[in-house]
Amino acid sequence: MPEPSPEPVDIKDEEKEPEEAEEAEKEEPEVAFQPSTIISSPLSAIETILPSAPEPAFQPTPEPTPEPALQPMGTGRYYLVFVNTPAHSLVKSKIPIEFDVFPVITIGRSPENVVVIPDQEVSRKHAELTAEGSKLLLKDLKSKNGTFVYDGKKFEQVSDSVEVKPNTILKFGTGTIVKLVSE
Amino acid sequence: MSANDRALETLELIGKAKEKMGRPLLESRNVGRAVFVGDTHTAVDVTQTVLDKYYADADLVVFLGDYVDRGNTGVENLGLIASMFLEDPHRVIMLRGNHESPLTNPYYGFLDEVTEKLGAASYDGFKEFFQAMPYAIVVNDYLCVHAGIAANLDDVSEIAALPSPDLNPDNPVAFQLLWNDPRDMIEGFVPSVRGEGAFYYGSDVTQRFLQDNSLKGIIRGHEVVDGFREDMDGKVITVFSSRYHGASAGILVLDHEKMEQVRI
Repeated sequence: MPEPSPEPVDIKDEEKEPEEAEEAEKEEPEVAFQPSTIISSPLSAIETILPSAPEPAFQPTPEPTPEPALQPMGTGRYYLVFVNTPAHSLVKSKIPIEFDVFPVITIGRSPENVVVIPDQEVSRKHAELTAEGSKLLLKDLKSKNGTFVYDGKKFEQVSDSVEVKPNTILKFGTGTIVKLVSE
Repeated sequence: MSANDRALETLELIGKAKEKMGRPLLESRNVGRAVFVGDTHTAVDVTQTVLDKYYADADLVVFLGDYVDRGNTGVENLGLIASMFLEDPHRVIMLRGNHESPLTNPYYGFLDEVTEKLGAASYDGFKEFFQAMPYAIVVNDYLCVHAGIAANLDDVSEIAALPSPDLNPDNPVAFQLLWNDPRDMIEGFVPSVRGEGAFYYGSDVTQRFLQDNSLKGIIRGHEVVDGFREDMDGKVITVFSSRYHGASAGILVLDHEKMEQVRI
């Protein structure tokens, strides 16, 4: 089998910001993506990473058992569903957001997060979700590649903290998209 | 035959095949037995297996694009499929993928491969061929296309009116036919991480498109999967037929109403 060639970073090199040292230790080939260009099947990133993709630290729970007690807001239970991420086996997987277990749901690349995303473009501590009364708040933790909320037309960058409602689509960095759902 | 002779033969084959590729949308077909092959990406052995074991019995073999890039036998793979096509253009369909394009070939290996085997100037011959390739065909009420449906595409017949030739392609609908991905947890079209102009297509728009066009489903490649993946209650089937990703190479065999998933 031919060995996958290293993925190109992007077509327009000059538009690519230099990697921060602390974000740049790459166990895996760079995720190819450039928002303003086409290129790159970022799929490529997925494809290349696949054979040695890091195991996610969490266990997605496809069929969680409902536990109505202890849920905030008296509404249903929340989940994050992966729409896309370089570790392609995670696509479609559903992660319960349990505020009764973790009042602050931290999201990032490093293993101490509640939701671990094995994506080089996601910062170690990227964002967090908290429940405040009946509201869910999404906060960007000064991530390198940004946290975004889809407004129905485009992904708007979150500058600090923003309220998010069920069915909102969120983007972390350039290659990971999740949908917040409530059931 | 030397490697160089084989490469030269591919150039000659695609030169001939180009003349017979047809329009952006091929005429719909209804057949008894059809075989659908997803992205092969230089996996000549997969193409050869299709030829050896599945071609003889098939009324139609549909290759869903992405024959080159991600390996160093794209020239041979393309040549083999083109030779099948030329042998019986009515039985072999060669659709275009997003890797049949100068948008990807400089970055994923095919341009280097052509340059090494035939010289950089020969790449022009491949570009000529790629831009002559069709985007889609409806087979037994399944839309066969490399990636999927596009925003602003209401009727399948509109594919026939897409500009041709379109080298990259630049037409937004044509581009999306080659770059979009299905996601049943979303609605509408949501920008994809693949880059500007590419989208995820959700369950509502897919159901509506299928209904409006009286289609049973969509057969596509484009995404790495372990042979197959079904979305939208099985109405959108992804088939991936390569080797480089380290998982299964799958093909679909449709025998009248029965769709079988075969790993090769």
